[in-house]
Amino acid sequence: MQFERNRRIFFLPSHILMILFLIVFLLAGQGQGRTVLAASEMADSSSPETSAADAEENSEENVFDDENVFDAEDEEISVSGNDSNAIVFNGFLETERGARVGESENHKETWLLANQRVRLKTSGNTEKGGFDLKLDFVKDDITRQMEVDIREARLRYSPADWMDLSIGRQVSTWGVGDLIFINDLFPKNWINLLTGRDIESLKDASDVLRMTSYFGSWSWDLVWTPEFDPDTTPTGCRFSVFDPNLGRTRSNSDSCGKNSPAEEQNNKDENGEIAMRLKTRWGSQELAIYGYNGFWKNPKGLRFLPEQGLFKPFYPRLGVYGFSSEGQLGDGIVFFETGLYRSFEDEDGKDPLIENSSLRMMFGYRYMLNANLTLSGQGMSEKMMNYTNYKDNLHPDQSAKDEVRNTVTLRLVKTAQQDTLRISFFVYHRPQHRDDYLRYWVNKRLDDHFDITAGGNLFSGHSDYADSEFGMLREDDNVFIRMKYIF
Amino acid sequence: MKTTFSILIAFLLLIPSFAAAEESADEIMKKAHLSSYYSGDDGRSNMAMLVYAKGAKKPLKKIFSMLKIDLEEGGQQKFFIYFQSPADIKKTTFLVHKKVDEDDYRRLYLPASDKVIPIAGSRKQDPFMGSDYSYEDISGRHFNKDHHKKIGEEALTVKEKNKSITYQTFAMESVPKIKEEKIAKIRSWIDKKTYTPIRVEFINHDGKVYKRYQSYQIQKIDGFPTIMRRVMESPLDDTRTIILLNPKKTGYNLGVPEDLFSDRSLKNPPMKYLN
Repeated sequence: MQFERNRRIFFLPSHILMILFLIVFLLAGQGQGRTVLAASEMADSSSPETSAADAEENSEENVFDDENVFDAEDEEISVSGNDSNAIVFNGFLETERGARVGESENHKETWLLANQRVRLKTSGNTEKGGFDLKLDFVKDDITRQMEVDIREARLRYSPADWMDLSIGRQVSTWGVGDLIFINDLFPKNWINLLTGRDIESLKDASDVLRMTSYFGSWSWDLVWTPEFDPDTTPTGCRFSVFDPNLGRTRSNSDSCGKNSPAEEQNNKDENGEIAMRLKTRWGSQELAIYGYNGFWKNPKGLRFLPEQGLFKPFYPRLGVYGFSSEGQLGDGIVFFETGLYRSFEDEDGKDPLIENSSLRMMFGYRYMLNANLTLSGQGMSEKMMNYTNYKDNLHPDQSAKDEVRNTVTLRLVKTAQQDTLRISFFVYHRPQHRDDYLRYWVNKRLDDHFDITAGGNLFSGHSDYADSEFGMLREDDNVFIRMKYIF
Repeated sequence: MKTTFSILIAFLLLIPSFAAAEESADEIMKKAHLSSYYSGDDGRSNMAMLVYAKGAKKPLKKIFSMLKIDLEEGGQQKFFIYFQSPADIKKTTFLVHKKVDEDDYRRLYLPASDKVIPIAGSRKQDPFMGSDYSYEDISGRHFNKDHHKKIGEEALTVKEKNKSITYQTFAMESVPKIKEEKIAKIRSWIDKKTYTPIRVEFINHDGKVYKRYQSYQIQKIDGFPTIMRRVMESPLDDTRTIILLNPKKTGYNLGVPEDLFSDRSLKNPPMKYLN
């Protein structure tokens, strides 16, 4: 029964199309290979010495016929190319599948991830600015939705020598951690990370106004998000999530296609976010201070709705002030980041339904053991402020979180075959709670167009523990495969 | 009188050989280094890098533009690299401040996630973007790092597309002053006319040639001899990388301002100078 259902999903028409598409392109690729071979064989018979060079040249010519790049040998050299203002569309076709491994009490479905995606991107430049557009057309077989995800739609403009403006939909990133974010409060999509989607999809795009000013070796960034953009956190659609009303984990097919069960912030007087960074260089180190005013990006507050008799999650107000440094030390890169999280709606920590303020600190080092092997480790500590107030006001039914939470991470990246094969292991470990997450993948770039990735996500921990982040996902272990045709 | 005259003749005949002998091995290598990496005060080259995997007939192709500025002749330089192709790495940028006695300053920018990544600048022998070229091969190995010796003068014939060209070269041998992990010895053949390295062999500690470099199609651009096609092979791994220059988008002394070689350009590449 199970087998039949899976098979039906696998042979969806879109997959047939994708497979045909792959076959056509693989054949096309082989055809080209054969012509080159034939040419070199011919050359072989006449003069064995030049065969290699001829084969090279033939394949080079093939390569450049597509692009028309370096065809003219004796044409006049011009400083500004004619094609600088031409608008070119690029992008990819992608199909990805992720399957649950092992039994899950809450979910009987096998698939966690089933996407077909077409990306189109383009950009244009003028003397003082330009535009960027990046659209994803997605067919999601889990949420059964078709959508257009606007990854980027922005205008760039430099009104002065010392200022860059970027207005519109875009992805923003700062901070120094590897999958640990302290001062980076730009929206993230954790579902994408936990189902094994491409790492760039961890960052969600948001509508912002970004202003960067430069004063000598200093730079100042201001990112204003007029409308609050929360993180996309796991929902019961794909995962088992903790339900505060039931006091246990559960699935929820109603949440498919919705971002989060949390209450919208629109009824607030002002629901925007402001993030700032001041950055400079000191020797080999890059130093930055940060400020943020907005909301907790996860629904870290619970509100009791008496008429429904239910707890409803919401995003309490948050301010973050922090510092980071990053730069070379020895043959590696050392990085440090700290941030004070101020929970405005629970400043004294007495409200057990709203996350307390906290102090977060992380330290890491990345080192290349050799040209093909990189090792990096991070340690992070998070200390809850006003812990006694928190404990004193806790409801007897609530299990208490720890005052200090420690995390260590380890990453190993191995590259081979001229960087076309990459293998990555990432472990996220909380020694106190045995709350662990292992993420691994293998990526192979087959040629200029085809890219294939396979990997898995493994979780462990206690599902009923207040501090556990991955425990509730322990029955959501998954493996995934992704194929891309890049054009 | 006769004797004086013959001495004078002999002396005059000797002058050219004296002049040639005057040019020491160090000077030849310095000139070769300057001609390869310090042409003009600044420059741009648009390159296609074709990386052939072991046994592959079709390469992986990366196209990028590189801007450079020389802060001192034979010394500090700054590089800015902008990737055009393949499409998934388009707009990726790479900034290098090359220093001679210190570690380089290197920053890589990934536009998809808006992330600037610092890269340790001490590993100069690591492959550049998965190719057979190392960082040092791209930005230049400083002549001060090796003891140089001229081992002879050779006529070197290079097979080009439709013809063969014979270069009169200095055959040189260089040994690192400080022992290195990979390089035990470098043999190079330097064109006497332009001081362009025509062929270079990198020899490992087992005495084997592990990388072999060859220049093709040397032509003058803005008056500077420029290698339009260069091949680096790794015979032990059976891989090779060809770099082709696009003559339409390669030039020197463009007046690129130094402040463009900064972190700011990573996110806002100076398209005016890159195209």
